[in-house]
Amino acid sequence: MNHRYPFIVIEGLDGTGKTTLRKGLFRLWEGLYGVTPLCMLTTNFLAANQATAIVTGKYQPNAGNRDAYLSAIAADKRATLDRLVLPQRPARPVIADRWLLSELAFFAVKHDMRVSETYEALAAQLTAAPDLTFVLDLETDASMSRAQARQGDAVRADWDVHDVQSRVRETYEAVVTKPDEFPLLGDVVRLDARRPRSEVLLAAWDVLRERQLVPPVAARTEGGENHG
Amino acid sequence: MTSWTLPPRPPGSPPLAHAWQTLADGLLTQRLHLHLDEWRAAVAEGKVLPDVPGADVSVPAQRPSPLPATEGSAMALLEAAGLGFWWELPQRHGAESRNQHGALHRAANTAAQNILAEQSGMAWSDAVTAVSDAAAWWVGFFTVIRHRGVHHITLEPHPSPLHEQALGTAVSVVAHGMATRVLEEALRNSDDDPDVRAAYCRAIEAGICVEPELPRLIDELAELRLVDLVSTTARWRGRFTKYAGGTGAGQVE
Repeated sequence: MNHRYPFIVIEGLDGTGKTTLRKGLFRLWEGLYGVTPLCMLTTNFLAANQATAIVTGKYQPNAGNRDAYLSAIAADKRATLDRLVLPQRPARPVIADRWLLSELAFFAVKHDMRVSETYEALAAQLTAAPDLTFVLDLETDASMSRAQARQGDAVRADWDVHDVQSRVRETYEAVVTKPDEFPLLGDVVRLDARRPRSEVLLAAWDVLRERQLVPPVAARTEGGENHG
Repeated sequence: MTSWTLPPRPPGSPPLAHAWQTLADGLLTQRLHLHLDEWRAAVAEGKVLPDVPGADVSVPAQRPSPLPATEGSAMALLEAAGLGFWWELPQRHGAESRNQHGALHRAANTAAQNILAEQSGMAWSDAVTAVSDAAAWWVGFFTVIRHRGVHHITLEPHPSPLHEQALGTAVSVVAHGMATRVLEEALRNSDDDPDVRAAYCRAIEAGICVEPELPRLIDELAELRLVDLVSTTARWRGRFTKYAGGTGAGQVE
């Protein structure tokens, strides 16, 4: 029997509540199920020799660095799977803030690449799919308004603008309506991010329960993770 | 289709966080009994606190309201959650109630209502209300003796004065943390009740929303016992730093 915890991905435009849902799922797992999840990002800089290509390709994208960037994030995801996701899943859930869908959208918007082309390039490197990809869905105006209300430097001038975000959302829409063509997304579930965030968390929890991706609560007191 | 199962629980490895929570609960009980006479003397004097301008000693000293009609099952839930002490000690040692509600009580009531969203009359909702009421009392207890405490980092006496508003925030944080424990225990019995699950999600959201404010709140509370009460009750990244470094006892109780 292959015993392991789920690999869960959270996707959505900036401002849709990805971080809040990630924190909520973290607290749910740790508080109720007694298991501390590993939370990670879409790129984790685990392929050190690819770091320059990742930074350049993400923040100064152009036709000249496109392929190097795509190759770099594929290598980074492969390293993330090999060094984080696969070793950790027997002990804890893994929750990723963005993963494959965001990369498909980035290359579609910044490089006019077909999502199928980007997908094939990444899929050649990826050995495992998430069990579930949550897509937080919210109108572009609303998500941008939320993102701009946040503190910090998370808003990018070349990315968090209406036309770019609208195209990102269109890409999400095109991909999630054809899940069979993108099996490395795992099961894709859209969540209505217009709702209060506690209700979004509840909806995500419902999905996990329906798919038996959380343990039965009665087993909770028998033991659990050793946090030491 | 899923072709795997969740791992079985390893026997004999309970989460360390549970043990740290147990230690933190015991520390509260210890401190209450160590300082009970001191607290009673301050309450008997009935004056305004020297380090919290405008705070009347007598109001937060009143024992919380008794549990309503579902007392038996609400009390059983509190006991199962390890929170019997949290409810019983204020009932046993609190001053007679004069039905005066101050800022701390109002903060506790607001925190409970935010989580319950008008749910009432069930054991779990009564238990949430009870631990929230008790949060006002516990914060009040350590506030009354705060001027005799020490700074939580320097261990120097005479922590600086603070505003009563910070105490209201502290009550809210503590109430949310304790309500979260109650709801987790209720869900361990059964996670089928959608009202309990929705309340639990609201408690989680409240904890996430308040987390960025906690460092500033702890800076203002400053005094060791109040800081420990808040920091080990709230669900946040600093919850058990007191214990994680191998310390946590033997300093100033």
